[in-house]
Amino acid sequence: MFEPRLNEDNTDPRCACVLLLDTSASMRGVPLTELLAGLRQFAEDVREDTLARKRVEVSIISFGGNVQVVTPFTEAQHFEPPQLAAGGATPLGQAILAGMQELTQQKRAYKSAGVEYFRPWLVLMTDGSPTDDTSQAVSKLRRLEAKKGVVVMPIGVGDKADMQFLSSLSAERSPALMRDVSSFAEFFRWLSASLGSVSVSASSASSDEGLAGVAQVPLPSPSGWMSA
Amino acid sequence: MDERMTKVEQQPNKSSPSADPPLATTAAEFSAERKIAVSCNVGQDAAEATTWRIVGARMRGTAHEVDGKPCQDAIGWTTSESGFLLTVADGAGSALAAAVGSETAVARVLQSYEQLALDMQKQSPVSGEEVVRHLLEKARTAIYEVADKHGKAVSHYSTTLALAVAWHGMLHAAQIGDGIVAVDVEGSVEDAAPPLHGEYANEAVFLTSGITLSEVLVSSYDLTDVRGVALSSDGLYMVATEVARARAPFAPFFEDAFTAVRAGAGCAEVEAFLARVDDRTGDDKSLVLAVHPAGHE
Repeated sequence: MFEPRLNEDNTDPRCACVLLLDTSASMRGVPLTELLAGLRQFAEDVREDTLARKRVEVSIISFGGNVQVVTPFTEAQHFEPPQLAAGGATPLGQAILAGMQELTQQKRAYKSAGVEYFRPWLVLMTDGSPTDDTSQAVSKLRRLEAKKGVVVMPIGVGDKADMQFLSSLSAERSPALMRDVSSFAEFFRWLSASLGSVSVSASSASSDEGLAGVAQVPLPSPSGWMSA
Repeated sequence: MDERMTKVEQQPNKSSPSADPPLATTAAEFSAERKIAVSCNVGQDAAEATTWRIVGARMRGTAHEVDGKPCQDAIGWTTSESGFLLTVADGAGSALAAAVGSETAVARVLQSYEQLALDMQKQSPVSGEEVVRHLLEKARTAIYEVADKHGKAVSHYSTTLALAVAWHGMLHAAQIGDGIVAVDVEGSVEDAAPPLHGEYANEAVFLTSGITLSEVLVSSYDLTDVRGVALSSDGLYMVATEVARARAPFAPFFEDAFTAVRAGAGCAEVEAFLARVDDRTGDDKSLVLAVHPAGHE
């Protein structure tokens, strides 16, 4: 008989994902409705993924007029899509700073609790251009990314999205252009599948960079929602 | 003759070292090997000799079954006049030829150990710590050779490697990677080789990551204080370590495991455990254990 006692008390490693969502005036009507439907889809999908539901933690920050943490970090299995209203300008700079602050706090919480974690994600979606000063936010984000402190995923929605600005957010990843608002559901499907892939990855770092090496987990194809 | 004095019953790796190293050890060879439990006498002379029991198994992870990936863990053990060797290697999930990497490392470690043990009989003695560093170096060289032979980048063969070597009355353990190396020292389970990894949970360090081998921590114990030693890949870390204590071995797991092997559990029982345990990772799992029969009691 070989039946050693197991440690039941270990906490699963966490993957923090902050979603920065544009809720400015241009999102009123159909775009916001589609976005909310996409979030509901996302909540359902991650809840069905047995590992992602325990490992992914989601926070939502909206920016429309002001910047607001509408959902503080929540385990995916308990994530409820928030109510969002659209209106106001597009303070992208402030939103990025708020997102980084959320991630930093969350990382600190993991460390002090002795919880292991994956490289956190910052997903930013906008259908427009920044209306505030973004220089400080962009340089801070780029520095964090260069230190392998975050995976940045910039996403433009529709043909008014400022792709040039979105390109400046990441050296590792080109911004994706979502065809139109009807692709939100597909996008969130992809996001939950991608977070699912990350949250099962074990010891998959590339060896080339030694301790600085960071797993580049293969993600599902974004062809369902991305504009070619 | 005392029953305990019986010489090695069966050796899992009988093949004598040849000029052409068995780099591409097949999974089939390993599956035959891992089913064999081994007993060996370890001691400077007949009066000190004690019989150790060695068992082990490995199991493809449930996530790898889904992806159609082979088991990328490799395990091995062998015995000699000088003592015994346990080894576990875990090929990186993202590496294309991870299983070749881990099996190459284990095959070379076994072969090099046997060569050293043979050399011991005619040459000036080497210390156990030197043996461990020598084996790490040989295994790393083997990875470079196999990559070179296939004209592929070394990273395709990324693997971790953990070793425990009983050598002339001492036990030495080390690892490069995120495996588990647990030693029962006079009844207390210790972390003999803490895992090396980066900031993130999926960020491992590999044999070919550029670690300076002379800087690898090698723990040493007086073998008479050791009641058991176990190596595992990270596939069991959620159930067999304490994550909040930097993945230190979870003592009850290893206490029970050593007790079970001492009571007669063999490779088949260990394999059955690996097959049924809910590891919470879906990763490949390996466990190789050597126990002192009486626990020195």
